[in-house]
Amino acid sequence: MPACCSFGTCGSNSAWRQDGWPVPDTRLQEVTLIRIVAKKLLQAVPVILIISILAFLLLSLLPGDPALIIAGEQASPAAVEQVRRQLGLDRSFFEQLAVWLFNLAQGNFGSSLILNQSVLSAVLERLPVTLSLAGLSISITIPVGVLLGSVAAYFRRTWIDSLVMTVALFGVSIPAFWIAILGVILFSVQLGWVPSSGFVPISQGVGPWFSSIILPALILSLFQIGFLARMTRSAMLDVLSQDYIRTARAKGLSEWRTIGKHGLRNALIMIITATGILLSAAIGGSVIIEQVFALPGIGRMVVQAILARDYPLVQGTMLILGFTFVMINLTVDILYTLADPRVSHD
Amino acid sequence: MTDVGLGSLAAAEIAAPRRHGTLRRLLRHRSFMIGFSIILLLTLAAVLAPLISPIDPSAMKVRLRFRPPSSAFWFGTDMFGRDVFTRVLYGARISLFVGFSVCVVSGLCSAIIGVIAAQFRRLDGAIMRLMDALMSFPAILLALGIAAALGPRVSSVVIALTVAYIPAGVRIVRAAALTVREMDYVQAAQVSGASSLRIVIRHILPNCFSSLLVHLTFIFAYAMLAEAALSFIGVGIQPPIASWGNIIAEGRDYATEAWWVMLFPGIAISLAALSLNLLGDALGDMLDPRQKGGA
Amino acid sequence: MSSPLLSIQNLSVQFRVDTGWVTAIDDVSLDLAAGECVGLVGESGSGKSVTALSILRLHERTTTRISSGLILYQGQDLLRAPGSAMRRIRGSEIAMIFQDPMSSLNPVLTIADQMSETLRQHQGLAGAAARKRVVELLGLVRIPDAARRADDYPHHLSGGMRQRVMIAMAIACKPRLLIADEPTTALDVTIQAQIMELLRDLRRELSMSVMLISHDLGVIAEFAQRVIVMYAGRVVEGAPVAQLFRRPVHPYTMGLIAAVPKLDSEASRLATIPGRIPGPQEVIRGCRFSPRCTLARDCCLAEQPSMQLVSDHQSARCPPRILALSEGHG
Repeated sequence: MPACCSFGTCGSNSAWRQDGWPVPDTRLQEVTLIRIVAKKLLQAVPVILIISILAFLLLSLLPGDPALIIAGEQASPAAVEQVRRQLGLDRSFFEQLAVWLFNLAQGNFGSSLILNQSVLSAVLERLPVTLSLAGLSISITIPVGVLLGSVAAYFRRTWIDSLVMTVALFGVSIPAFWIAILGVILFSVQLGWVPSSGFVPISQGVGPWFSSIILPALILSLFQIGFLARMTRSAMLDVLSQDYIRTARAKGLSEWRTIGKHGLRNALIMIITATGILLSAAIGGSVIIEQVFALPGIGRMVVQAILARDYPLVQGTMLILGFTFVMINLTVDILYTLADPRVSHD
Repeated sequence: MTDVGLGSLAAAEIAAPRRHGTLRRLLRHRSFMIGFSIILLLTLAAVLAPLISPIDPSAMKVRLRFRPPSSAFWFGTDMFGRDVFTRVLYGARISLFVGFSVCVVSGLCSAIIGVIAAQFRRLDGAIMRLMDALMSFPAILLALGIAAALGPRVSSVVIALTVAYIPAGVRIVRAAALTVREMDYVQAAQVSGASSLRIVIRHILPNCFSSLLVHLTFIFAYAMLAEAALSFIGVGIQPPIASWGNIIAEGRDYATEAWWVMLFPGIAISLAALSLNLLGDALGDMLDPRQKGGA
Repeated sequence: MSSPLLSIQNLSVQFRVDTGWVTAIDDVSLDLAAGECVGLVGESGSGKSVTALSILRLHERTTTRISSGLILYQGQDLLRAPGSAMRRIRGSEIAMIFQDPMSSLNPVLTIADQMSETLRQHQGLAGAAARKRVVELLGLVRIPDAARRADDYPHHLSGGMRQRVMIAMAIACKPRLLIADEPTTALDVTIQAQIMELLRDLRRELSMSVMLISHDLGVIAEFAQRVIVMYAGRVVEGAPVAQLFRRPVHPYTMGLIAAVPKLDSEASRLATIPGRIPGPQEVIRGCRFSPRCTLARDCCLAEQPSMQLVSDHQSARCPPRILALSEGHG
């Protein structure tokens, strides 16, 4: 099993097959796309259910009385009781769970104690920020990461390989929040190229928006580029050592066509699964980056909610994010199936 | 005509080079040696912290605040006059402890859950749905949530990160176990009447070991980076207990006046993560050899 | 005698190992005339595949290097030809098929896609014209239901059919030389016979030269006109096929032929050659076969023997044996 398969999100839950594929003598029965999608959707349902329950349990993990914690130590017993009733904490465990799930089914993810709005609207308000950040970061990461990884694999064991891999190594080892601060000092304070904090929405101009988001996005990409470059190199090394690459060369195809068409097409499978992980890392990373750059995104909201003990907000947001990622993983899974004609489903 | 046929076979053998043992290969592998030495050094520094620097890391001496690095204070002093070097040293203890614990505990749990999932088809579905659910959150976010719920202390961070990283490990172990199960020697053992438990312990687990080991090395690095991030935000280790993350957080506001407070812990984290990544790469290289010499 | 189509002269190739570079094949020379079929035979590790891959420079660049020698094709040295020249020759003038058709075909591309690549590269065919030719070629290699098969992926086909596809791809541009590296080793015996028959027919129809590489003497005997025997990286004997089997000169060749079990013999044990083939790293003074040779003498252990002519068309790397034969013994 390739060592690069850390975080083993290899699409379906089957074992990673390196060279053994099913070899029937007769044609495989074609499985239609709709059937595959339906099956995956069905598998996603219990996952969503479990996520909902987990998010619910988050509150019950709190040591001590949640109502007291939320109301604050100084609060009067009456105020605590009010909080308790407000949150429905006076009911039995299963009643609370039922109410929770019932609300979810209606699209009610709870309401924030501090922000005075529903969790859903709070998240949607801040979505553009996080989306800009993660989106820009991913669009930088994928081309750069794949290119670096492929170059390193093609020139393996030369100085190019060593250089690229060293850069990638630093990328995954240097803490993002630290390099972010250093970045701000250099690019904002010293050079004045970009603002040091705050978000400018696109409606106020693409230029200012880009200025406010480029540095955070670049910092966020550092880790991801490093990660993707390493994974791509590993996948490409595997692919480039395969016999069909030799066959392609034996047919007289140019190097570009050999690597580009035959090589990348096969490594694509690995890259697709890596992208799923990267999206997850991007959102996770944005939590930290938004803090450093004071960007009013979802990540920053979660952190502030935690520090302010606005637990319903934390709970609801985690849930929304969880659902989003189930959908993302589903999409990645389906793309993986489309990319690899060998995969049969168990 | 002398018959020297087989006798000279021995002579030919002597000319052939000896096989290198695994240990020797490890020692000659540059990445491994660099990574291993650095992390060993850091671990020793962390363990011997009180001996290396007998100062109390939380001791505040307001008159000594913001001293730049000097022979008296190798890393300078911070806004409260505390010796940054000592704090970084003690921060190493926290980071390495967290990294190591997360590594070991999540490794054990992953191994057990992964093998169970591979062995018992009926439980497999349920277990993997649960893992999928956990993996639906970015690890940092999950750890954030759990750590926030449990309170800002070392144990919460360890538990939170462990839970966040278990699903990835389970996938790796499960995949390896499923592959091993199909191998002929496992079937041979089954046929000869070995009990399931025996097969698991003697055949399946050792073969999952190498994939898991490489994975765990990277988990160590991720856990350390995650702990630093959590402490930086304020959800992990709180001052006055020194963690590399919260030293940077405190030093951030004085970045221009006292750059040394922020610089050294950052270098420390990078170095530690770097060495572990190198180690992981080296182990991965050796345990999954891809040399095709060709014939 | 007109000049050969392909002439390998004193080819030496090295492998990279942990400690440096070691010699994989040493001073290999062989000629192949137009329209001829030469069989290259030897055990695994003898260097036959390395030799074949070097012709088209398909070896793994980071771990293998050609240290000396020439490979002349129609007067041009292939080892020193520019990349563009090689790409023109590969697939159109000299084609190659490999041992494992399962791994030699790209699993994520259809058969038609992979086959039309050659056609596009060398003949400029595209679209409908290319597809027509693809179906034609698949028919030529006797794949039933060719039009449907063209849109299949490699894993839909059986081993024998995949190898036929490989052959179809190789002959698409009517090459003058086809190098077949163990084309039947990975296949069942009955399929082997079919593939070899196909190769024989194609050879005749396209007037192609073939270099057949195999460890299976039976296949070589049936198919080749001339045989080159390799051992531990060196050529040890070369002769026309009938002559080789009737009167092998080199002790290794004798051992190989004796090792083939005969159905009508009364022997109760299989004949073997004791010992094993030396790896590239092993340094052996003298003849590389001497540790296993039952006829070895002191002179064999002292220095490397050279190739010597036995007769008009036969040569071998065993001076003592040649001497013995010429004096009327053996």
